[in-house]
Amino acid sequence: MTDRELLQGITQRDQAAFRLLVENHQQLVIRTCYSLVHDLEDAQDLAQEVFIEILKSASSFRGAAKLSSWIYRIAVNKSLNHLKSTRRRKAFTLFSFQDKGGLSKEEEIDGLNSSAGGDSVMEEKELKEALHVAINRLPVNQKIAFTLHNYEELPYKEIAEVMNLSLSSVESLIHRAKLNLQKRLTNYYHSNLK
Amino acid sequence: MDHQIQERVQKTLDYIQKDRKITEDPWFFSRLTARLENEFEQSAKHGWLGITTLRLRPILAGMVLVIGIAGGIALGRVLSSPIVSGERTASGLVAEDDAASAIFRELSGSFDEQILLMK
Repeated sequence: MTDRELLQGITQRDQAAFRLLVENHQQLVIRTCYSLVHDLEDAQDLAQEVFIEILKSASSFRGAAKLSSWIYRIAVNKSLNHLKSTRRRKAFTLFSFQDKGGLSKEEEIDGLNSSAGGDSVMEEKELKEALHVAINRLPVNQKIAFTLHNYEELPYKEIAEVMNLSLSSVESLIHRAKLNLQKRLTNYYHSNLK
Repeated sequence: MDHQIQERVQKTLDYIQKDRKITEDPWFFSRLTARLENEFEQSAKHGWLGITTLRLRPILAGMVLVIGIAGGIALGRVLSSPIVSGERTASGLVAEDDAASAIFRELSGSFDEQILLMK
C-alpha cells in the first residue's frame, strides 16, 4: 500500500489503514517526541496526539512532501508545544508552590543514584542527565536538526524537508549544534569533575 | 584532567545510541483507539455546544464578572436611595418642628397674656 492509498483509506475512516499507519510509524513518532521532551510517558502521550492529528487532517495532506516528513513535522510541533506549556507550568509552580514539601528533581536523582547501587547504573543516569540538559539548552532549530539527525538518523535532505530549510542551513545547524554540545558538556564536566 | 573531560564528553555523546532505543509498546494501538473512542463519545455527547462552551469559558467568566460588578453598583444605588429620602424626611421634620415651635410660641404668648389679664 502506498502512502497516498494509506491516507486515502484513513480519510475514508478505514480502520485497517489507520492501524497500518500507526504500526509503521509508531516507533518513529515516539522516538522523535522522546528525543525532544526526554520523558517516555510524555512521548507516548504526545505520539497518541500526533496520530489523532493525522486522522483529523489526513484530507489536508497534499502529497508535496513525503508522508514521513509530514508526520515528523507534526511530531516536532506537538513536542515543542508540550515543552512550551511545561515550561510555563513550571514557572507558575515555582511561584505558587515553593513550600509544597515534595522532593526536587535533584533530590530525586540523588536518591536514585544512592539506591540504585551499581556504578554502571549510576554512570548511565549521569550520562543521560548531562546529555538531556545539554540538548535542552540548544537553540530550538539546532535542537530539532540535531535530534532528527542523531536520534532518527535522518539524512540532511529529509531534515531540510521537515524543517522547510535549505540543505546548507541544515548542515550549518547540525555543525553548530555539535560544537555547542561539546562546549556545554566540557564546561559541565569541568565544573563537576573537579 | 583535560583528557579525562574529553573522554567523558565523548562518552556522553555516544550515549545517544543507547538513548534512542525505545522498547516497543504492544498496547499502543489499543490505548490510542480507546482514547479516540473516548474523544468521539465526548464530542457526540456534548456536540458543538460542549466545544463552544469550552472555548468560550474565559469570555463567559469575564461576562459573569462584569455582570456581578454592574449588579453590585446597581444594588448599591438602590440601597443608598432611602438615605436621600431620609434627608428629605429630616428636612420635612425640621420644617414641621419650625411650625410646631411657632404654634407653641403663639400659644405660650396667649398664655402669658391670659396670666397678665388675670393679674
